[in-house]
Amino acid sequence: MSQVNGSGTHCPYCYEEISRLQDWFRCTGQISPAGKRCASESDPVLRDRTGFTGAVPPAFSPSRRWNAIECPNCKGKTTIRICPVCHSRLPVHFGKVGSHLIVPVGAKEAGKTVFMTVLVHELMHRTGQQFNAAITGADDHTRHRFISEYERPLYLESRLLAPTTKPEGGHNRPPLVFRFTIEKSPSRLLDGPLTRAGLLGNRDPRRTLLSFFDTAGEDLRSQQSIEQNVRYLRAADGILLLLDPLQMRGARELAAPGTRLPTLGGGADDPATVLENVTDLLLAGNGEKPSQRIGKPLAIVFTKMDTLMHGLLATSPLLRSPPRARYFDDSDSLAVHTEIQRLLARWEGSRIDQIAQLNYRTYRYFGVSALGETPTADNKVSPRGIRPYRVTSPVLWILAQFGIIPVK
Amino acid sequence: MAFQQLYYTSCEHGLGGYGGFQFNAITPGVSPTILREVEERAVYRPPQWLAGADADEPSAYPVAFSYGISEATGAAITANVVFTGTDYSGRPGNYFAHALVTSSLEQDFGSLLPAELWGAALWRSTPVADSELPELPGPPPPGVIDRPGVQAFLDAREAEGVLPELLSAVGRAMAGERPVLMVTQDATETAWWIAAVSYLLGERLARRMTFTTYSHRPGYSRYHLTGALPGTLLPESNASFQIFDFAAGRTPGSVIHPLAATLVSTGVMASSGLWQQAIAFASGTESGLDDWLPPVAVATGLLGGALSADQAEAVARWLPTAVVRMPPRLADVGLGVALAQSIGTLADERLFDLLDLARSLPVPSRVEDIERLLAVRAIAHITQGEQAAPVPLTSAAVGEVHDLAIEALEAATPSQAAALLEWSAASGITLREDELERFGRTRLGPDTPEPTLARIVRCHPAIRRGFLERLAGDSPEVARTLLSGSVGTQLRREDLTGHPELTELWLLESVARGQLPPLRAYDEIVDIRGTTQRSPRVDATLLYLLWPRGCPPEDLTELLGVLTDPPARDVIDWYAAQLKTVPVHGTTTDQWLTLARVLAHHPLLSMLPEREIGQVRNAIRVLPLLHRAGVGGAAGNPDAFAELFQEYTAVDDDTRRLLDRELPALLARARPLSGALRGCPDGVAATFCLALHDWLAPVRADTTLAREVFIASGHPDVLAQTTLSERLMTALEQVRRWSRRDLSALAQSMGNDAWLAQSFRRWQKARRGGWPSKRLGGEGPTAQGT
Repeated sequence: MSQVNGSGTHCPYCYEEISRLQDWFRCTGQISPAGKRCASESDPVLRDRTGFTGAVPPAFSPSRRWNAIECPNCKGKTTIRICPVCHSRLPVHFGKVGSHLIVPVGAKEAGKTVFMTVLVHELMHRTGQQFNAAITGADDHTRHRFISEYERPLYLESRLLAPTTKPEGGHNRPPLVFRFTIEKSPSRLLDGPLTRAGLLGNRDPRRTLLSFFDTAGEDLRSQQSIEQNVRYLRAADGILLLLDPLQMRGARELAAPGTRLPTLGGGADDPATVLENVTDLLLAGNGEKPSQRIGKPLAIVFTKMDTLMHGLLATSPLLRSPPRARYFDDSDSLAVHTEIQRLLARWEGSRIDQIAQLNYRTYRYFGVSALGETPTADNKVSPRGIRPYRVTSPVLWILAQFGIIPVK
Repeated sequence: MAFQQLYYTSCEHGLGGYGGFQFNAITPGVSPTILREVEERAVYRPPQWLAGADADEPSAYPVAFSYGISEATGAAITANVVFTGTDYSGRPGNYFAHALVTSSLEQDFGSLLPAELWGAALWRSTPVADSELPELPGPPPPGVIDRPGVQAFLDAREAEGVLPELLSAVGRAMAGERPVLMVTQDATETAWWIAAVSYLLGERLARRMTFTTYSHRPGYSRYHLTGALPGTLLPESNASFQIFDFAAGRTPGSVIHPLAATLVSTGVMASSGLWQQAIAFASGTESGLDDWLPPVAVATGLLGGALSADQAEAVARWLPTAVVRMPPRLADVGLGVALAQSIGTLADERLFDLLDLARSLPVPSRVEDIERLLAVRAIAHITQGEQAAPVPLTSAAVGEVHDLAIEALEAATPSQAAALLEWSAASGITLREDELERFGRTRLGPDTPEPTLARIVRCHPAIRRGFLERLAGDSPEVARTLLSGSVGTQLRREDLTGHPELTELWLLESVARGQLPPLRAYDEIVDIRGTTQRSPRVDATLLYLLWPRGCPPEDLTELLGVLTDPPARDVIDWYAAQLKTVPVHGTTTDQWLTLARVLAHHPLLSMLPEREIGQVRNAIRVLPLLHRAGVGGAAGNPDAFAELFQEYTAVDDDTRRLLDRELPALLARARPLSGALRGCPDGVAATFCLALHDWLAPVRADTTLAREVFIASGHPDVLAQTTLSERLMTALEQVRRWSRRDLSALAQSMGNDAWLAQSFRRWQKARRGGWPSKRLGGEGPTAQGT
């Protein structure tokens, strides 16, 4: 369940805390046994909260809590549960399975959208096989949008995605919500030869919802724009902070020849400044005691690492192939963490480590490359294709923190 | 005032102080609210199939040209958003938004419509170095769109068929219903459609209509009219939008608003002139198609166009309230337009409203026109067998309507004639007497359905006169038949003047209906016959008709009073028949007593047939005696009973039956009863005691009568009449069945006489029998109280 400091369940779409609110449902809009059909019309709550102006069947809050709820107008049964705050349709099993809100944040051009696209793609395919897990879109919107707006342009059309802009119509973009299904962790007794031999059959699945809220880089440039997303960060269970090492003077000098360097955005885009902004927001929003460090797991992800690989020591763990076990390899992750810590000094980014150490109980560094290679000058994926590098490690680490995947 | 300008794009330098999406430059003074709204409205994403196209050809991308009203500030935001490919840093997906903002729409736009800014030269698509933009004075120069161009665009598409539907849909969207989604092959086509709609809607509505030529996610668009490209519609879009998919040749097929039909038939080129006229009639509060329909319809009529039934109806509904704020001249013009179109279209109810309006303005010529029109319609309604409301005629139209009514009357069926006459009367039309009289004489008769005839006869004295004139010539049977029914009830006595036979018939029928006392009718008929020298003045037929169920004693008394001349035989026979019933029906009432007294000395008595004389004489002798017994007996003087007992044995059977009927009640009231019973014949005693049996029943418990019977039953005179005494004691046995309370009351009534009380107690104790004192050897009552 998405619980922040024990504050209850949060809607995976609006990130509002809804566990104390009465359940709401939406009529199916089908002909009921009584022969009536509820007309679809614009839902003012949905419109005001999400900007969606389309017509939908009516929403209602039933007086009693049953499995099949009866629409007060047409008397038809419905199981369509909606968020009492934003009226978005909640995924199946919401409230009965875990729900974790993971918010990728980062400065402009840090590669958040590309990272998220490749991450989900990898989770759906390669990592799914690795963990015997499945990740699927939890709603029609996510399924449609992820394919049409993210996956197809990048993977099929080989073009870079347009920068994420401010939300249209003043409403927040709906997050992409996925259902992550994995077999339950086995007990020591059962995880023996019989299981491995397949004689005990499949174990029960464990499901959790992952909600990714894609922020615009411009949102993290000032306190004012950050605060527009305060609710999302405050409700987040885990944060993926994506930083572009090429925004750091020390790293730019080390970039491979031919690398397309991002324009320096001044102080606002400096990775340390972005981390400071996020930290300030989390400190202010979560009501932590001044003496306490932030409890949310923070994955500090350095992107575009392919541009810096050539300068690493031959013994660098970043040059090793990531392990492909059915668990999260913590020793490998720690080695990468230490290596990044070391590199930060070279990249003139020691301040990042100071901020992280002083403010976060649980944080870890990651070095990733979503595309595996610098895109072409005309913003196309390299003709050699997308070759992601360690792109799932940060999310797997966060899932391991939640106990969703095993750790060794 | 002038337009504030804003540039928004992903640029290296701008108001944000960093690279990326931000306001590149703005006119100083733009509020943060407007900045946020422009930023939100400017969001642009290219269509999926173009997203990977060559960014060096931005013209291939749809332009999102939008016009909206800020919900927060009310300012109009017109924005031109174009795709610009890569930004300063080489990132793809950049766009440039140039927005114009004004809070004084009318002043800054002038006569320019927002849609006319499509393709205007003023729109910029590249960032500038200076972050401060100058104000743009209004109205800005238009772009490529103008009326001839839009007309050509529509002509090329044969759009006449779809345009009314599109216009209606936009009107509904502006009224809060589902917005319009227009799917075209490119945004330019959408812009021309929007321009067509704008021109047709006129300045005021067009400035309220929000639109965008392109949206990549229509489900999140908040414009009244949103343009989209093929392939962006989701399956649920049908429920969310009124979709005009021009790319696929599909429209929603919804209802066409009458204003939309008018505007489209006026055309893009002429609509400006139409709206100019319409605005003269507008209140300024019009907000949608429904509000604008009447003023535009008036303008259409003023410009020589024909109004549809819906339009005429709308004008007529609207005018009475709209004229309050209009100069009288304009109101008169509006009225004229409505009337010029209204024949056969406007409902009568609307015409009545307009009549009230014309009277209140006042415009006498319009009043006359409407009155005439309503009257003509009413007459037509009536001749078609329909209901018609009266039209109170106050104008010179009344003369013309009079002639029309008379003309219609000539050809009308009886029921139509009735309706016509009633309508004329209610409308204040005075039809000429000679015409009406002729109508009554020639068009009404026995064949006319009676209810209709009654309705018509009631309408007008002249019609009645004519009708009665005709009726007087018909046979008495026909006349009687008509006068006996509902027609007769509609007549008054004075209507029949000049028609004595009809009058007599009418009087007789009035008596038969119970509407006239027979004696009064008798007097009138006798007078009429006397005046007209008809003979005989009185006959038995008349008397039987007047008193078909017998003549009551008071009427007989009256008739005897006026019977001066020796009557004819048939009349004497009628009297004999009536008087023969005196012994049978006679009572002690004053009416019978009076009759008996009058008859006792009346010469008629001697004229009666011998067979009836004796009985009548007996009756008229007995009746005064009965009266005296009633009055005297109750006052303690029962002498008359002795005379009656003597008569009882002497009279005929019928008279005896009269005495049997009347005497028991008189005896019961007589005091003392013992005195009245002295010499009572057995027949009377039997009848009396039989009656006593009922009167002394427990349910009545008449203590006074019981006391009197108890005393009488012990009186020596009564005891001397053994049969009578036994009959009385038998009747008295009823008292034993009385309730204890009633018996106690009876005992108390005897309390002032100790002996009587003691006797009663003994009688009570005895199970059955006569006076206990006698049985016990005590003294019986003497002549106490006698």
